[in-house]
Amino acid sequence: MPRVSLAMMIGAGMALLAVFLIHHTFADVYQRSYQAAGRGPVFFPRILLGILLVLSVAVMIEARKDAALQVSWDVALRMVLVLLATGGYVLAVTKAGFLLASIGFALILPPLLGYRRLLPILVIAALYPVCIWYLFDRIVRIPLPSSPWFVWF
Amino acid sequence: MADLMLGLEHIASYQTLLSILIGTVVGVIVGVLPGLGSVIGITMVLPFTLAMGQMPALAMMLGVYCGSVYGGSISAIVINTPGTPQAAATALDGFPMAQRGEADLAIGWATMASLIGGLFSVLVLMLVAPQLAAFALNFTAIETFALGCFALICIAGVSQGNMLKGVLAGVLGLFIASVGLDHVTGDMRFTFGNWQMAAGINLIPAVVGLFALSEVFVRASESSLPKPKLLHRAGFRLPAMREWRPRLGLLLKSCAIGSFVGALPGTGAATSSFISYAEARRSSPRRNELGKGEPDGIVASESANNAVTGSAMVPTLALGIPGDPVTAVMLGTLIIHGITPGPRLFTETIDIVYAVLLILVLVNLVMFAVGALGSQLFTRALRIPEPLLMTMVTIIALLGAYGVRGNAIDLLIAFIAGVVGFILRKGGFPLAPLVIGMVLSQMIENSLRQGLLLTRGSFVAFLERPIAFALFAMTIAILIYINRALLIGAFGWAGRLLRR
Repeated sequence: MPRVSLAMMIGAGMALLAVFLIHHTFADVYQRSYQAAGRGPVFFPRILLGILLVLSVAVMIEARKDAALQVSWDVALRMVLVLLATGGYVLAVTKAGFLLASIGFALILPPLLGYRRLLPILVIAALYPVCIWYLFDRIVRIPLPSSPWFVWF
Repeated sequence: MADLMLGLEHIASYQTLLSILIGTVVGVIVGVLPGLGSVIGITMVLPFTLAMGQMPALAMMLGVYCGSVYGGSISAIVINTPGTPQAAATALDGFPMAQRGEADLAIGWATMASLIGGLFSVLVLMLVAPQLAAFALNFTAIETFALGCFALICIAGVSQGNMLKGVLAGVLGLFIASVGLDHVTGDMRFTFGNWQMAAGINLIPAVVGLFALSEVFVRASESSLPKPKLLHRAGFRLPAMREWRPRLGLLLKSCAIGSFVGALPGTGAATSSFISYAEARRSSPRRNELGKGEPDGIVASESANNAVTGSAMVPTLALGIPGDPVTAVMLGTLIIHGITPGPRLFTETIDIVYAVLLILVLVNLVMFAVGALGSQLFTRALRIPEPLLMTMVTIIALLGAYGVRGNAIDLLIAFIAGVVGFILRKGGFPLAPLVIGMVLSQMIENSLRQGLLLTRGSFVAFLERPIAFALFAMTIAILIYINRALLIGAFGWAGRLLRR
C-alpha cells in the first residue's frame, strides 16, 4: 500500500480544487462581463489558481518522503465528536439562540476534551454564557441571535 | 504641536484610559495562558470593541497586543512553558532562576526589559513611520502591486515550517479574499448562486476559525490530555541599578534588533527574541552563564520581543501592510472604526497617529504597573483547567466572528475556517501567510488592474519603474531561494532526460 502523508493529501485536494475552479472561471456568467473594464472578473483569480495548482503539485512532490498519516481511533473519535459539537453549536446559535446554545455547548465540550468534574462544568455552563449574553445583549446593546421560544432571550 | 495636542485630546477620556487598563490586564492574562497568544487575545476582545468608540477600541487592541507579548514571559519563568512563542527564549534563563527561588527577580528583569523595549519601539514608530509614509506617497499602482507581492512572499518565506507551504498558504489567502463581489466590474465571483456570499469572506471570522477554533481542534487531537504543571511561587522584585549598568549595552542592542526585525513583514516577536538571544550568546561578557539563569538572557529576549510591538505598526500604519496576523486583525478593526491605514493617514489625520503613539506609551507604562502589582495573581489563571478555558475561548471567539456584521453566515465561515486551519496546521502549513494574503488581496488585485491600465496591458512595462523593478527582483530572488531544492531537482531531472 503506498504511503500517503497528510501534506500530500492536502496538496492533492488543493490541486483538485484549483483545477475545478479554473474550469469554473470559463463559465458563461464570467464571459459576459469581459467587456466591462478591459479585464474580466476572473482575471486575477485565474492567475492565483494557476499558481495554486503549480504549488500544490510541488507540495505533493516534496511531501512524498514525509511520514505516512497515522490515525489512532480513540483520538479520531474524540476529534469527530468535538467537530460535531462545535458545528452543532454554530447551527444551534442560529436556531435556538445564543444563550441556550452556549449553555448546551459549555456542558458538552469540556467532557469531550477530557474534563469530567461536574460541578465546575455546571458552574461555567450556568454563569459564563449568561454573563456574556447580559453584557452584550443588555449592556453593550449588540443584539445576539435570540431564541424563537422565549421572549427575553 | 497642534496635532500632538489633538492626539492627546483624543485619548484624554476615561473610556480610553479604562480600555488601556482592561486591555493590558486581559492581554497579560491571555499571554500567561499557554497556547492562546496575541491573535486569540485580540479576537476575544474584538466583540467588545465593536460597541466602543474609535480611540477606546484602539486602546483596548493595543493593550491586549502589548500585554500578551509581555504576559508570555510570566508562564515561561514560572512553569517553563512560554505562554506565547515570543517568550520561548525567556524560559531558557527565566526558569532556572525560578528553580533557584528567584522567580520574582526574573519577573522583575522581564517586566523592566519589556517596558524599555516597548518604549523604544514607540520611538522607532514615531521616527520611521512618517518617513516611510512620505516615501510611499510617491507610489503608483505599479509600485503598490510590487510591494504587495514582495510583502506576501517575505511573510510566506520566513514563516515557520516549510517555505513552499507558506507561499501556498499565502496564495490561498489571496484567492479566498477574491470570493464575492468584484469591486471593478460588480460581478459575483465563486459564490455559486449563494447571495449571502456576495459580501465575500470577512477577515475576522476567518481569523477566529483559523486561530481560535483550530487551537481547540488541535488540543482535542492530542493523544494525551494536559496534566497540571508545577507552579513556582511568582512575585515581583526589581533588580538593583548596579545590576543594570553592565547590561545597558545589551539592552539597547536587543531593543534595536527587536525594532528592526519587527518592522520587516512576516517576522515577529518570536524571531526577534531568538535573534537577540543568539546575539547575547555571542557577545555578552557573561555568555558562559547563559542558559543557567543569567539575567542577560531575559533582558535580551524580553526587550527584543516587546520592541516589536511598536515597530510592527510601522508598515501597518504607513503602508497599510500588516506584518503578522495580529496587526492584520488590528488593521481590520481600524477599518471597521473608520481609520484607513496607509500613507494618507500621515498627511490627512496625523492626530490619529499621535493618539496611537500616546496610547502605546501609556500601554507600556500600565503594563509595567500591572506586571509589578499582579504577576502573582495572573499566575492563578494557569490553574484554570484547559478544557474549561477552551470552551470559554470558543464561545467568545465565535461571538467576535458574529458581531462584526451580525450575519449568521460568519459563524459558518469561522467553523469551516477552523476545520481548514486544523488540517493545514496538522499538515505543517503556516497560517500567518494565509491571513496576510487575505488582507493584501484587494490591494494587490486593484493595483495590478490599475497598473495594467496605466501600461496599456503590458506586464513588461511594470519593470521599467526602478522601485517596482527592485521589489520584483527581490521577490523573485526570495522565491528562487525558497524553491532552490525543488529547482535543483527539476533541472537535474531535465538534464538526465536530455542526456538520454
